[in-house]
Amino acid sequence: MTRRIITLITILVATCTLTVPAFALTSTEQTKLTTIISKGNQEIERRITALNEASKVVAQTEKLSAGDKQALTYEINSTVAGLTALKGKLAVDTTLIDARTDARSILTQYRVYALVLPKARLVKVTDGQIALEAKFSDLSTKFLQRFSELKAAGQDISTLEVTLSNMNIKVENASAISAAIQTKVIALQPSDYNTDHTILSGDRDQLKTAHDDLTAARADAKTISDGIKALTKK
Amino acid sequence: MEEIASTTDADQEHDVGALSPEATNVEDSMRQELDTPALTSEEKQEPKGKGRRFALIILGVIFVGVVTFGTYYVLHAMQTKNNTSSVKTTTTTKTDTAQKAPATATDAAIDTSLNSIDSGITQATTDQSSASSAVSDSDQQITVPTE
Repeated sequence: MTRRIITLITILVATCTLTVPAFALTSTEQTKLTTIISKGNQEIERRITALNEASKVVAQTEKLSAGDKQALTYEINSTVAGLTALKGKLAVDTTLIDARTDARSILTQYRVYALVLPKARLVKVTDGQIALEAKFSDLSTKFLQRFSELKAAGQDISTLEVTLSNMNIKVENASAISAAIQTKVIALQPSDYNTDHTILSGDRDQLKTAHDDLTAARADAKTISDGIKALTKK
Repeated sequence: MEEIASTTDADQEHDVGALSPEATNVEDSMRQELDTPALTSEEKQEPKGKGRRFALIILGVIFVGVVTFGTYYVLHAMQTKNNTSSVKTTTTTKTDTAQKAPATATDAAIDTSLNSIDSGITQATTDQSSASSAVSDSDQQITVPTE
């Protein structure tokens, strides 16, 4: 009998020792938990709002292939869905450990501000530049056609031909950068950023170079246009 | 009256006695010479003044002629110069126009493409700026309590 009572008390003490700390938080710990959940909710909401805007940006792309556009849209939507689920999970966390883990996963699992949004913006930039490069290609064709007409009229267009060649070289340089960056950026995942935080910095610099090339090509195009007008009756 | 009377008397006196026709002619001639008053000094110089006047008139006529011709020549020269210049200008303009090629529909198409490229570059610049601003807006801004 005595032995049974001792065993029962031992089990009871052991159970209390193991379970009470998990549910019984001090007031300080409870305050921290509430703060983590509240702050985590704010950060999740902020990201979801930004992602919805990014989704609109992706929808506005013109030259992005249907597959890439679909992939990028899916990535944004799945990020929104994941963050929404995380928000629900964080709201019912009862321990500081779980809350901290979930809050940190807002960063480590999704990398919204570090990767997803910059990625969407970079894709938008590359898309715009690719569209611009297509316009330059179209303009180049028109220049060639006009050159042909001017030649037939006995005009000397050798200088204009050199300028057009320079314009085309600049556009080709920009085009090579835009296409390469777009292909690379679309494939990036949060885990890539976790490995290398500077993963996008080189891309931005290259796109800036491509943009400068296109701006210089625009100046060449203006020079050619003015040259054509000088050889044309008013 | 007395003088008249005396002249008449003298005439009558000459008539006295009959003269031959030759003598009469000589006498008439002499009488005419005697009746003609002597030339004054001015009268003696009159032919010389007339010649000078005539020469002056001739010179005047020549002067007027020269001035008229000169004016005409200058005006004509100016007129000719203007005409030549005008002709040259017209010729030059015609030449320039002839050297230029006629405009075609391609010119308008080029302008349209350039405008489209301008708007594309403006948009690309905006996108570029937006992409760059994302750098500062990183995940590191999140502040999750660690304690």
